[in-house]
Order: sequence, then structure tokens, then C-alpha cells
Amino acid sequence: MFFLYNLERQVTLHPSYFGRNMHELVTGKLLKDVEGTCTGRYFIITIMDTFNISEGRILPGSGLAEFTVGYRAVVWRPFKGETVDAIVTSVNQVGFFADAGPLPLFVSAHLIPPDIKFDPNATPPQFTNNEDSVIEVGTHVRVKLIGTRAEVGGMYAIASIKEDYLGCLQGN
Amino acid sequence: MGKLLSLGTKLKYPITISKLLKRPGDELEKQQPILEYKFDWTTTVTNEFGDDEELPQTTIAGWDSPAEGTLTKWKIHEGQIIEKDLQFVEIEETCSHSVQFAGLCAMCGKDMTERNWASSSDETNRATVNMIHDQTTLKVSHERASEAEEELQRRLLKDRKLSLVVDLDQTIIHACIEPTVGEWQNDPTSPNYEAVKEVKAFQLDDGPRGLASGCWYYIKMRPGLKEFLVKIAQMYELHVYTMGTRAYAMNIAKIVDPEKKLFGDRIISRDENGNITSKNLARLFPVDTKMVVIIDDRADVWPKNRPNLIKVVPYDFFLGIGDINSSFLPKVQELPKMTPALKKKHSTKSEEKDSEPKENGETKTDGALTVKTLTGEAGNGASKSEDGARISALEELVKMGGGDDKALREEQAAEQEKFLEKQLKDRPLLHLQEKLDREEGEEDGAPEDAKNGDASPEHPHHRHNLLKDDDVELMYLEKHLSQLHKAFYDEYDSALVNAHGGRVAQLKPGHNKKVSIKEDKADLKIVPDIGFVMPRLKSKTLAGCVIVMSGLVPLQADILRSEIGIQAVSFGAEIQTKVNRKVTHLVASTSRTRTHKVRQAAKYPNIKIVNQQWLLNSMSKWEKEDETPFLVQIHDQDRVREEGFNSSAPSSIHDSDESSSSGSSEDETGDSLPASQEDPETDTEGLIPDDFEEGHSPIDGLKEVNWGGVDDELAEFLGDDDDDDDDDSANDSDASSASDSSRASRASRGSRRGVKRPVGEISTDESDTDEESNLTKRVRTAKSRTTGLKTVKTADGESESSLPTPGVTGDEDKR
Repeated sequence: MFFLYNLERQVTLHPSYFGRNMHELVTGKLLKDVEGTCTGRYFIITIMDTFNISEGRILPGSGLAEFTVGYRAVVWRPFKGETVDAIVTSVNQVGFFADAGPLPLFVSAHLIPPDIKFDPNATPPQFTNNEDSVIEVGTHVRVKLIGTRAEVGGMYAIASIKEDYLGCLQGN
Repeated sequence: MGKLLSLGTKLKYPITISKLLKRPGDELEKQQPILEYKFDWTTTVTNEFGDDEELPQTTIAGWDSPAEGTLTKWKIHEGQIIEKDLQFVEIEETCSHSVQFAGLCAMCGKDMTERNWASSSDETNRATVNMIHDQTTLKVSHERASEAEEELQRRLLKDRKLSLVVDLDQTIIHACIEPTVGEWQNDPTSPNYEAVKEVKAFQLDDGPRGLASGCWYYIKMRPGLKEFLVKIAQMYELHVYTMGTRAYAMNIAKIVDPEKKLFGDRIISRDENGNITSKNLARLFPVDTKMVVIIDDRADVWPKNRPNLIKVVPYDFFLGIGDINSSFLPKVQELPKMTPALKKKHSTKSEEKDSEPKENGETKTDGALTVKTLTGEAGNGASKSEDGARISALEELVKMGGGDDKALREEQAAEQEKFLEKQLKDRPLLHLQEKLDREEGEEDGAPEDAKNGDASPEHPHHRHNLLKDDDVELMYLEKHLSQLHKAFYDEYDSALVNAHGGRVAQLKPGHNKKVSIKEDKADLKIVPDIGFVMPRLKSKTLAGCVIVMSGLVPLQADILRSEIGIQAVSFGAEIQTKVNRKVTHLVASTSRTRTHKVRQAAKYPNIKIVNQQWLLNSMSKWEKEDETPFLVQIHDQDRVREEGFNSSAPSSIHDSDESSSSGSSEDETGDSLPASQEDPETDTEGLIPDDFEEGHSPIDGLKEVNWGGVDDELAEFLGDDDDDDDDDSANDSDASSASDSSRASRASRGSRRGVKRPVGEISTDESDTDEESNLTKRVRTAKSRTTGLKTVKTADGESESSLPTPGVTGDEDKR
């Protein structure tokens, strides 16, 4: 699910950048450091704006200036039970891998409807029910997240297409 | 699928089960108590008098379920006293967590890395097998892996196929990043244009950093590759297994198999391999490798799967480049460097003079390599040994074998980067071509010795261009693979018939063979194992050959563990370390045709002395090659010795020859002792038995030995130092001379190996007492001269065959 979230971050700036456009530089550095990262609970998709840049404080010893920046960001936190769209990246006999934006997920053969079977002889290998559903690399699928796990710098999810309205999107 | 839970070792046994909280059929949750038990224990309390008093206590505790599911059966009852850990309850688990993705169960979505006080073991241990080609995060349990594999085997049996694991670099393609190739491609006037115009190129985004970043990779497919793969794909399901990066592997697959029909997604690269120095079939076929064949140019990277391996002659199109991903593999064994030396022999003098190492003159190999490329003869693997030299710094790191994988991997990546940069900067191909052109100008008249005893298929017919596209290895390979496929399914079919009640069942009316196949697919036990079928096929090749190798493996190395040794054995040959009657072939290095073993073997007419190309060709073709084109020319001197020992050869020739290959003869000396003992009557070396140093003088049995031969031998051992000591007295008696000479030669042997004084100082005393005066005199004269070993005398006639008496030796013996 997407959220608009108020966040705060310490940004340091090298003394050589001290000057008139310091605030722009701080914002730029913030964007560079933060956008697209995963905190372990959510992904920071984009920064809307910075609403508060504190006065800089010189760090003793290094001379770097430290700013506390308050900003508003769009974050995405995948929840268990959430339905997301994803693109298949790899297919094998155990199941298939897909990416829902920054989130890599895996759909195991258990969580695929029994009529959709793995066909190793097809090129490329695919899951298919020999009708409208063909799941191969590049297919858009709609999946439901069954479980998620976070690590530093990344998240993983297990998903299912064994429910109504889930699965291959290309047929529709 | 029931799972048995056990009480665990941490409880204070004995315990009494006081209450079972759940009944069969009840749902269990994690960390929910399922039974109550009590146990007695004592506590020590200090009473009011200051004495310690032991008080018995009874505690009631609960036992919490580590798993979730349905209880199926209690194996204990209330009131039971339990003395030790046992399995007490059977439950049906909700999820077996047998497929896990990045620490999540792929079936129920639960986090497997969570641990709590109730769980007995880590849930992630339930799925440890990595069986997907392009992912390492997905793991499955052993049971799941075997299920999947069974499924695969059934499918393959139905299609009558096998699995084939294909290596990329130097097996089906040859890659380099040498920019010269690109220039030649764009220049139709280049002599190499024809050869390189088929070369494909690509760039890698995530390729090496630094100078080599964004460079073009030039890929040459082995001649006939497309047809080969298409044909083979009808019999085999193909997998790619390479030590290159994933991006590299994908790009090559795109070139080799643009429609993804052959390999599909079955590509595994170093990124997913999990081991940086070796490949392992268990990565792809974790349970059963019965139906898997490997083709690779390196046998040493498959330490665990040799029976399944067909070793391919490395494809070396871009000369001197080697395997661009070899930094990630263990150092190649040095054997192939002999091959260029073979050419060296036939190349002209001027070329030899020209052969100074020019790029990185560190090793002799480089020199040899240059010679080889100059003559334009595409040998195999010369460059690999050069590679080996380059990555030698890595060797010890590799030996650490994954101690610190990450550090090692970085190191290797850096190494590869360096290697690639070198290629970009040095442009070895350009240099070689320039050199070749110059050569051509110089010796236009000199026709190439087209029949230089090398019937290898790679033999060139003209020498205008550096790069040759005349490799035919794939033809053999195709033959072997279809042969193997046939052998496998022949065996399978006959096993099928037998498994089905034998002939009787077969002959029953209505019993159709088709049906039997279908039914019996269920029984995978009768499937033959490639690991047995292939060795059986291969071992026919050299069956009956008893091979001794000379100059191919360093002396200190165990021949049976060396790469070529292992291979020869796998082809059915018997390897011996010493020359004796049973030996049928002596495989000699072409660069050293005068080793001791060669000379020994020359004495047996039945031993065919061939060069290593015979062995390599036989192993490549799976056929015993005709030896004639590979026979090593025995040096005249060795022939002479073979006919009779009376004619002692002029030592000067020996000396000059010997000095050129002194290293080898020295190495071989050590071997000669026991070997010669086996044939004392023909072998001059029999003079020096092993047990000499134990105080027993063997001279009595040696009176009839011809001393001319001994002198020869000695002269050889002592090299060109035989200048002085002409005034040696004529020999006294047969006996004394015998003992002297043997001692002398022994001494010389000893000092050549850096041993100053032989051990037998005291032990040989008695046998010489009667010549004491004579000897002491000589010893004194000897002592007054220079060092002991210089005092060597060779006889130049029968009459004067007095013996060299190294001063030091005599001295010792007398003290």
C-alpha cells in the first residue's frame, strides 16, 4: 500500500559546498541518498518535498555541516494479503519469480491453480493451462502476497495466484 | 506426512507425564502447551543453624509445541515415567516448509528465520538444496529435490534423452577482448579476415571496471557448433554451466542459441554457482546424476563428477588468449606446455632464435608459445599454461578453497580485470601477426614441413594467417555423445525387459514392449548410471595398454594424481611409474626425448615410444590411434646402447646433448634405481642395488658386467667435468673396480643431489681392506687436487677402463 509519510533525516554537507545554494544542495543530497531505498519496512518511492531544513551544525572534528531535514515522501509498504501487479522474471519447475516494482516475489507451484502446469519443453519454459493463461518471462501477473520478509536494504515476498481474479493479466 | 516430535535433551529426566492437554485430531499451534509433566529435584537450603539442608521439590511444567499442525497420535500416556529423550507424539504438519525463498516459506509465506524458545531447530534447515539454475535464493528440501528430479528423469526417459551440461569458454566457444579482432573484422584485406568474419561481438554493462570497462567481447564459435548443438539437442537436454558472469553467459547464449531453443533458461553461471573454484553437478542435479553428461575443457574443475565428464580438447582460436574467465578457476596443470615444444623440434633454426619471450618474458612457456604461434601450428592449450603462469599468484588463494570467499572472489575479480587490461594493452594477436608477416618475408623459400609427424587434425596447410578455423573436435564429440546415448538406452532397454519378468513375460502373447516401457517408467531404479556407462565405454579405448610417462609430469608429482594420469586411467590404460617388460607404451614428452626412461624403454623392442600427442589424440577420439606417426625418434646414442654396451660412445656428444636437457635427465635419475633392478641382466643400472648401504657389498655377482657401459653411464652422470685425472692407475681387480665404480657412481649421484657425504661411510669398510695402500695413495693425490667431483676419468678404450675415483668418496671410505 502507498502512503504519504513525513520523515526526517540527517544530511551532512561538505564545507566546500557552504554558500548561497546550500539548501538546494541539501535537498539534492537527500534525494540522492534516500529515493528508491528500502528501510526494511517500506520502500521510499519518491520524495514530494522537504518542508523543514534545520540550521546547519558544524560537526566538531570534520567540519561537515549537519542538517536535520524533514521531508514528505511517498512510501510503499507491501502487506500480507495485499494484491499487487508484477512482471515475471524467471520461470522454473518449482514456481516463478516476479518483480512488483522493487519487491522481488516468488510464486511457488503450490500457490498456482492446479490446472496451470509447468511445461519445460516450451520455449521459453512456461506455466500454462493450454488455454488463455500462459505465464512466461515478461508476463504481467496479478498476485496476492502471502508473506513478506525484510532484510537490511531489501524485502522479499511470497505470493499466490490461486484465487479468483489472480494470475495472468495478458488475456484480459 | 507425519512428523514425530521428541521431548528434547534439556528436560530434567526422569519426568512423569501428568496430563495430556490435546487429543488426537486437535489442532496445534506453535508455542502452545500440549502436555504437562512433573519432575522431582532437590534444592539446597541453609537452615537457622547455618547447616545446608537438601529439600526435595516437585515442579510441574508444560511442554510447548514447536510446530503447527494436527495431532495424530500420542505415543505416551498419562502417568508414564520417562527416563530419557524419546519421540512421543506424531503430528501432521500444516506446512512442511519444503520450498523456501529468501527465508520465507514459499508455500505458507511464513518467515523461516524467526526463532523462538519452543522451536528445536532452525526452520531454514528444512530446505537447503539449491536446484534452480538462475537463482540462489530459492531452496528446496531434499525430498522436493528428489521428486523434481524424478519427474525430470521420467520426462527424459519418455523423450529418450539425457542431460548434457555444457561448458562455454574454450569448449564450444572462444572469447577474447583483444581489439585487434575488431580491426581485422572491418578490414577485408587482413589475412585473418576470413577467419574472424564470423566472430560475434557484444559489450557488457556490468563487465569489468577500469580500463577494460565497456570493452567488446569477441566470441568465436567452434566450427560446426550450430549443427552440433541442433543434433545433440535431439538426444540431450542442454544446460550451460560456465564460470563467467551471468551477463556474460546470457550474452553468449544469445549468440549460440538466439531462439532459446537449445538451452532455454537452463544457464548457470559463476554468480549462482556457490563455489568459486569448482563446478559441481550437485548444484543442478542434487540427488541423482545418473543421466547427466558433462562436456568441459577442464577436468580438474569437476572434482566430484569425473565419471560423467567428457573432456574436450580446449578450443584455442585466438592464439595466446586462453580462457578469459580462467582467473576464477584453479591453476591449470602444466602438461600442455609440452605441446609447443613438440613443434619446436620441427621448426627451423631461425624461428628458434627468434623465440625470445617478448610480451612478458617471465616463463619459458612464453617462449615456447611464441615459437608455436610463429610456425602457425595450432596446438592445444599452450596458452592455457601461460594463463596458468599468470594466475600463479592466485594459486595459494585458490588453495585456501573458500576460506574467505568474498575476499577471494574480489581478488579473483581484480585478477581477471588485470588480465583483461593486459589483453587490451598488449594486443598479443596483433604482435603475433606482425611477427608472422615478418617471418614470412624472411623465409619464403623454406617450405613448411607439412608432415612433421603430427597427424593432429589441427594441422595447418598454409601459414598466411595467424588464426585458423580448422578445429574438428566437435565431430568427435558428436560421435561420442551419440555413442553414449545409444549405450545408455541399450542398457536401459535390456534392463526394462529383465525387470519385467525376463524372456518369459516377453514372449507371452499380448505382452507388448511398448506397454512395458510405459509401466516401467515408474521404476527408476533400473535406469543405468552414466557414471558407469561412460567409463565402461571409455575404458575400451586404451584397454591393455600399459603406459609409462616420461617428462610429462613433474617428478615429485604423483603421476596417478596428475591430470593426464587420471585421464589415461579413465580410458582404460594402466599407468606404471617404471619401465619394465609389461609396459606397452612409453609416452614421452617431445621436448625431452632422451630421458632415462626413454633409454630404458628403447631396450625393449615391444615398447612403443610415442609422444604425448598419441595419448591426447587417442583420448580425444576414444580410439586407440595408430602409433606409427607418433613414434619418437630415438637418439642414435640410445640405440647404440641398446645393441651392445661394448661400443662406448664418445662422451663429448653425450655431454653436449646432455647439457641441453640436463634438467630432465637429472629428474629421471631417481626413478632408475628400482626399475633397473627388475632386469639386472640387461640393465647397467643394476650395479647399484638398493640395499648397498646396509653394508652388503654386491660386487660378487657383477664380475661379468661390461665396464664400458658403466663408464659411459658415469660420464653422463658427471657431465662435462671429466677433464683431468688422467693418471689413474689401471684397475686392480675386477672386484675392486666394481666396488669402486659403484661407489663412485653412487657418490656422484649423491653429490648431484646436493648430498655431500653418502651414508655408507663405515659400512663398506671391510670389502676394501686389501687394497688399502693402493687406495690411500690415490686418495691422497685426489685430495691434493680440486673438488672431489671434478676428478672423473672416462675410459676411451677397453684396456684402460680404469675407474673414476672421486677423491672425496675414496677418502671417506678409508677413514
